[in-house]
Amino acid sequence: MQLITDNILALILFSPLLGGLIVMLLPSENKDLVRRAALALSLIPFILTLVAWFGFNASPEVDGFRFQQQVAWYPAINSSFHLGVDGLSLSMVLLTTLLAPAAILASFSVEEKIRSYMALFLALETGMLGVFLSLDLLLFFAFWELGLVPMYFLIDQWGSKTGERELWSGMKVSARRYASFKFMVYTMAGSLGLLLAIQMLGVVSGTFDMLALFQSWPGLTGSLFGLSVETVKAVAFWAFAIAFAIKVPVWPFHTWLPDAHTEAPTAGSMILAGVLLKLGAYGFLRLVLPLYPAEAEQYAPVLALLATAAIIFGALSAYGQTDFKRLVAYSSVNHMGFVVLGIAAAAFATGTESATIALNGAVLQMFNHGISSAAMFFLVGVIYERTHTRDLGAWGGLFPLVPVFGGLLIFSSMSSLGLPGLNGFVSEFLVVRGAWPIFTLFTALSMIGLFFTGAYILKGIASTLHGPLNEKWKGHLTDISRREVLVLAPLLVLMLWLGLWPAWLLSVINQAVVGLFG
Amino acid sequence: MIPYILSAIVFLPILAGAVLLFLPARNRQLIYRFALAVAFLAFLLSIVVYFNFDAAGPRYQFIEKYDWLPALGISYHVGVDGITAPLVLLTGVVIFTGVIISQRIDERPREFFAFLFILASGVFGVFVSLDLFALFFFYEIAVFPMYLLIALWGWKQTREYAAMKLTLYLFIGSVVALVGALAMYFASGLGTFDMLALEGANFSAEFQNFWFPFVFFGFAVLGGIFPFHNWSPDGHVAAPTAVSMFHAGVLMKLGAFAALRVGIMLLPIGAHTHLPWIIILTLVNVVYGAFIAMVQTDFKYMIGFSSVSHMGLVTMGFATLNYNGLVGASVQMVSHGVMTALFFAVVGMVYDQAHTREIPKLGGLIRFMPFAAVAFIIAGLVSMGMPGFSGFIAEFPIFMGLWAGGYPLIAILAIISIAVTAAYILRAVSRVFFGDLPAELEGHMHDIRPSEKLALGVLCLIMITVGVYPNIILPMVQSGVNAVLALLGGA
Amino acid sequence: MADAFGNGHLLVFITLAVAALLTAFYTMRQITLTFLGAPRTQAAEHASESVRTMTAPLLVLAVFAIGAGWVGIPEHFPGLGGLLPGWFHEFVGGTLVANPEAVAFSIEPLLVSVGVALGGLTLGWLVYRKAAEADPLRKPLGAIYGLLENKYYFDELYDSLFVQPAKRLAEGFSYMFLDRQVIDGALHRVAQAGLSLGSIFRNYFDAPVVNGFGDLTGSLTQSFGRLLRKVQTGQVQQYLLFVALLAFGGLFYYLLSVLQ
Repeated sequence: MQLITDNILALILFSPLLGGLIVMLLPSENKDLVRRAALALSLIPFILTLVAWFGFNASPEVDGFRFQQQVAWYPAINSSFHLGVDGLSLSMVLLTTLLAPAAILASFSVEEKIRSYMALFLALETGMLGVFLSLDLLLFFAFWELGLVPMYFLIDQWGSKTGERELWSGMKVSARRYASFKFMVYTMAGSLGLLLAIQMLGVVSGTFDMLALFQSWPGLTGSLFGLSVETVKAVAFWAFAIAFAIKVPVWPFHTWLPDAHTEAPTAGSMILAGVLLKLGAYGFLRLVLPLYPAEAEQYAPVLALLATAAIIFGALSAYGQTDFKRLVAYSSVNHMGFVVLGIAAAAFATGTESATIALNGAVLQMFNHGISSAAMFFLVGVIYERTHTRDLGAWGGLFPLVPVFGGLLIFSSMSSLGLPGLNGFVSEFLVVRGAWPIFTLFTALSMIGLFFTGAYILKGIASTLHGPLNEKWKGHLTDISRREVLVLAPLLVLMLWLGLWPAWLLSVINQAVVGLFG
Repeated sequence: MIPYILSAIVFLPILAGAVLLFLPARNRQLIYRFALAVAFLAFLLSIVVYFNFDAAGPRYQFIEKYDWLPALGISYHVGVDGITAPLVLLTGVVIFTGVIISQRIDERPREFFAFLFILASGVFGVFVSLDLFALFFFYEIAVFPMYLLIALWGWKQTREYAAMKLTLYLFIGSVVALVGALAMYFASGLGTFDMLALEGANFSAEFQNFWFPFVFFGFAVLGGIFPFHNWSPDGHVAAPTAVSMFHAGVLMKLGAFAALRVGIMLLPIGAHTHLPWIIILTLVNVVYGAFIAMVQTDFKYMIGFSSVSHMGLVTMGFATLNYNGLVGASVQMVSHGVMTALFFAVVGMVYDQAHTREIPKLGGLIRFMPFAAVAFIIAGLVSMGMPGFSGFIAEFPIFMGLWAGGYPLIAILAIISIAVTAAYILRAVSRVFFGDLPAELEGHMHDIRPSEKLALGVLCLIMITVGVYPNIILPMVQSGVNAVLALLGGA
Repeated sequence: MADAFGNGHLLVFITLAVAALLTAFYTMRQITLTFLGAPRTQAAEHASESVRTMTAPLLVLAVFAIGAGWVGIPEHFPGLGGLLPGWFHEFVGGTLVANPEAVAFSIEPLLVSVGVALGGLTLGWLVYRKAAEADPLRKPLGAIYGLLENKYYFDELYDSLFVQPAKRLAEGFSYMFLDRQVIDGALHRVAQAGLSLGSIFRNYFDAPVVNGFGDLTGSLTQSFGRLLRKVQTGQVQQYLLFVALLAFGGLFYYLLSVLQ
């Protein structure tokens, strides 16, 4: 038992990858075996996370992080394999290990190349967990990039079969190829600045260890490369910020998201929206704010402006959609805008009460959005599998045909909309309350976005469930199945639980936020 | 310390080549099996050398020294250090996998393997030589079989042109370098070609500044430095598969390594003077090569230009003259060598069956050769510098070296190549291996042989192992680099 | 109404009275059209009593509809005042900062409200008891009827003022223009630029200049060789001539240098 708790983070990190390798060794003809094995293997990291969660306070805290492990990895350049968690990262790890089994259970309807699919999914889980658990900058970057590869293949190979995008000169490519390529190359290109900045940090500081860098880097003075340290830091700040801004995504770097989310297979979208976007926000919180407090404060208004643009334009674009999945994709842009608004507010006024509230709201919103968007994408996937269309105009009045589905859709939509009593409201309120004294104008403008949030959510529900029944679907629809409800069940429970009593999560988050940012 | 192991490695191939020529030409099986056995033996010996190298031990190990022409100060002096031991292993791997891939050669395999082995001996010889004359001797032995191999077994359309171009470029380069080497011999006043002795020769600054470009560029031509890189893409495309694997995988490293060994290590002041502008040429290699690779429609040309780009990173790392850059460049030589050998091997397998290398004419191949496709994808990820693989372990310190060396602008420009590489690799993978099989290829495509899968597997294993556990190569490389830094004045 | 009258706000009083009249009118219109007279459609002919799950709650509501008002009858109301404790006034008034005094009783509001109520009901019954398909008020009211039927066209106004512009802003501007044309367009142009750069490097520099240079040296060497070959004529006399020229030239030069 001691062995497990001593190495719990390494176990959480690598158990999905090992699971993926085991899955690859199973006989491919036995589809059920492969599916069930993948599901069972994905529950292992979840259980381990719960062990870590309940043993969190028992583990000693060193420099703000617990369960730390450090092993030599690339000593030639002073990089080590260093893992550790605080409340912020453990919440994200919990989100990841919770959504992964749900997504795998949701993937039971995939019929082709199941082994490769499940193996890639599990490998993806390791990639994402690695980002949250790393306390070494090089390791962080390694997992950051690695996570792109499985997702690229998941979208390219198992994504929507139909659809085309036009490039230029009349050239057309299949939608999923376009989406996967754009996703990977855009994110990678954006990460190049991050790569350069990390190299530079390592060279200047002589180490890649985050804990050491948090101490040494912010106070650096003098000149570097013939420029003042302030200039170099400002450039490095933007390099970090842009890489993370593309991932979150912040307006105007968001256009990869609608394509990737829409063309990805259902479970892929669940994980993309549920976890991958949070990697970007996590990067801001874990790296940008602690390493560049002065620059973050200086440029926070720019970030807040872009966040507000994301909130408004995300909501507007969502409202203008006819494809339900793309609507939900844009809702992610909209919701993540609140996260960034909270972060920007906290960066601008570090140490004040409002900043703490905003930051709590931002992190909680990360968690909540993960839950609600995963649920929404899954529900869209459910109706797509039955009707083979995502066009809002193709449905109509389906509520009497699929009442349970309808009820669950409305419930999840209300969580996404931020209805008081459900989780979305708590986090949005905290962000708005925190950001209001700090960025009053931006917060006020973001209300426009919130207004349209209501509009697009209701548009989605109304086009699908309400109104006159579209006779075409009569007798052709089966209601949501037991397995599908099982996928949603933990998400729905969390939506209600966090909406009524969020303290169990907020206290963990708050502890981390106060510890990190005072 | 196993005595004579380096000589064994160096001479085994050429002796085997001689024996091969006596085997009956018609017995293809015997020829292939004999060649395979020899290559495997060379591979094993290189593994023994690698894992018996003591990173904490003396600078050069497995040393052997015999007088050859004492009147002229020429000796047969061999040994490996931390940088060359991995390169010897690389050569062993490539000769072994190259022979496996060459089992499909049906025209005069006897002569083919004989020449291939002469080439291998030459390459091994250059890596282990500690005598300047011996180095040139083995260098020429490595270059001339290339002409025959390409001209006789290459792609009929361009083989004569490419073979002639390649050989002339490399010979002229070696002549230029030889002139510089002779200048060193005469100016040192030591009357010896022994490189360890020449390291202490204390050439004057004017001497070094004058002769350094001769020596460096003479060898760097083989490393594909801009603007002398053009023999490489044409050579790659025209050459038969195993020769391309050798050419890009090992031969180009020969050039870069010799530029380090003879140029940088023996003329350090010259290096300090000239490399700050030479580094700009390497930048051109890296970025220019990547952009050109992106617009190629011939699969092999794409990989050829990709090699030009990645070799640019090696020379760039050397040009930083600091710890990080040198470490990165040394690892990159191994990483790129393995990766490009794999690329060419798979391209060769595809061409053998589809009889075309045009990317638009290929598609959906993963259904027929899944192992090869996955191996290619792994190599592709290495070439993009994806963490978890050897490419990242190599490229990252090179960039750190750029920062440490005070070349931030070069770092920023060079990193663009990573995005471009990602773009063309993903595009090629997506078009060639995924998608639909073109109608013309129906019925032509089948899986690769188990022995070929073994070859690809070995190559992938190396790339993944170094990526996940870099310490398997680093202590060795570090010791070699530290010795170089001592010569450079501790930069 | 009583409060308005008692405090002298006659305009308010009259407005309330008219509203009450209309309320009674439309209520009776509704009851008359729905429950009284001959059935106007098939469905109406076959209508039956609603299920108990509907009537039971209706009964409860009916009791409250009738009885709830009784709770608020002020004490000084003639006859009915004082029968039931008028606690409502205290209940609400107690929550206000200054507990207001009830208005003194006056008979006019009472008469007007009763009259308006009963009058409205009667009027409604009279107008609609013989109504066929068309509403009898349609013709007399003319354009006003249309205005009323279409809820003063508020929905249409909102639609054109808010909903349509919002849709245009959402779909047309934010999505199709900003995202697809501007941002994605920029991204596509970057990709195109990259490809063009590669093409330029290859077709305008690498192939003609670099490659060409290499090929040029080759062809120059060949031309030079061909030129030099011309010296090899094979004629011994010519060679002897060259030897003689060289010998004399050398001798000449030597003599010159000796003489200096």
